[in-house]
Amino acid sequence: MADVSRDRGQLIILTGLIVAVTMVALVLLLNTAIYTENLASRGADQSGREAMEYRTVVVDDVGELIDEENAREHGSYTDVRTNVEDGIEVYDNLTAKSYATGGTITYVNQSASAMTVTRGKLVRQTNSSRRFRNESEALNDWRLASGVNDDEIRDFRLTVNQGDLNSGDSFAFNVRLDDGSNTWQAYVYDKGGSEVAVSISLDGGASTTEVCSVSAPEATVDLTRGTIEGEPCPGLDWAEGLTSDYTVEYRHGENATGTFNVTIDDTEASIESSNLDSTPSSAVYVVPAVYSASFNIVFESPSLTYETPVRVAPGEP
Amino acid sequence: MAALLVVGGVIFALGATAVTPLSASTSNQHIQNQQLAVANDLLATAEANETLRATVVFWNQSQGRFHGAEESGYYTTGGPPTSFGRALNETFRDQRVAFNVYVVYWQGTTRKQIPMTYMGAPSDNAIRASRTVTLYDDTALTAPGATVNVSEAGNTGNFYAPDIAPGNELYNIVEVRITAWRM
Repeated sequence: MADVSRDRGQLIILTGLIVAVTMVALVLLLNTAIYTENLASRGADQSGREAMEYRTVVVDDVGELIDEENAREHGSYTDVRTNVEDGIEVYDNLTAKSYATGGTITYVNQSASAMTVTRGKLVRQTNSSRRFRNESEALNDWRLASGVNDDEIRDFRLTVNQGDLNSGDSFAFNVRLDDGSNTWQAYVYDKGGSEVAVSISLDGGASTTEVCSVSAPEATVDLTRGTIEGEPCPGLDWAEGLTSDYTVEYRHGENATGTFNVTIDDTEASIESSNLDSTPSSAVYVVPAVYSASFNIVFESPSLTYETPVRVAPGEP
Repeated sequence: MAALLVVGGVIFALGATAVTPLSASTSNQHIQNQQLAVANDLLATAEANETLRATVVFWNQSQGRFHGAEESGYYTTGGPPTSFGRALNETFRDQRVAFNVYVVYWQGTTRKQIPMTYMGAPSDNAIRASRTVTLYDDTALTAPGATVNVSEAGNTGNFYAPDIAPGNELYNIVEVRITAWRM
């Protein structure tokens, strides 16, 4: 009897041991599986995310590079274009090297067949105390450009002095777009209480709708991006309701002072050079600029190859 | 007695399986994933709202170090006193996560780095995230009282990064690198 019970005891111990070992093995196996899966999926996510990040970074940086070169007011289009292309080349060499340390190949395809640079003009006024009149000061209502489309105008930024604006939107300074059948007008005026406000009119000024305002002695209105002092302004929707090529005009330029910048594609649209100085001056003038650049970018990591064409034209509507 | 042994064996087995790569600890895989995602997002946000660029040029010319940094040249108690630095403190330091921030720049064709924040040697389970920022010749220094841009400061040798493309508006491409780990 005693012998039998000792046998049973051994059996139970053995079973207990087997159960224990099995559990350890099973947990270890499961954990390894989860861990591997975790690592594996993380790796794949990373390179997808990095490829998208690379694209965004290149578009942003090359856009800034173009605008920086434009703002330097080169004497000829060849100069500004050469500088932009050289800048992209240096930029590409260095970013490629830094991505290479992470095991990724990146490059900007700058071969003549892959890269196109579009000529443009930067129309600007840098004298912040000047009114928004034409170059000779003779016209308060004057034209900047005609035959303009939404992908031929970008980065239209006005910085106005609140104290010099018209009170209320009737007779206020406005930017007027006209495609022959419809108009779009953006009024910039002093709302009172030291606030700069923007109103939109789609019926030639008969009725206006205030879309946003900001309290500042100097306010920057970005018409094409639709922002005021850097904050989004949802109602400010450039060329809303226009269906074909339009003209860009200033109205009541006497009722605002400040600076402005606008880059226009002059291979498609035409700039009214009679209203502008052809060299940098204290009035309103025009300088050669690069409007946009299109090229292919390539991103290759061990698990992903990504190539995509990009077009860089910062601040297009 | 035998039942006690069986139960003992099972308890031992459970104890042995308690520590795995997925157990809750400072080295937990998910914590690393989360920290990495947070760090990447923080950098992306800072880059988008321009505070990242404002931070890499938060340079005190006369002292030759980041403005308000200690004698060693870097901050040790948290991020720099800029909005990006405050975001770092709120995101990491306040959650008891330590971090180092390095700024990597180009000198000719070699890369150099300077520490911006140094909180100590990272643990084995640290994560690393980085983001590049492009500086242009007319990027203005943001330290209080600074009136010059990076190119003017660089010409007199008072800025850490040199102009890599003279004659061009491009100044340098710097990379902000965050290393973060649970304390």
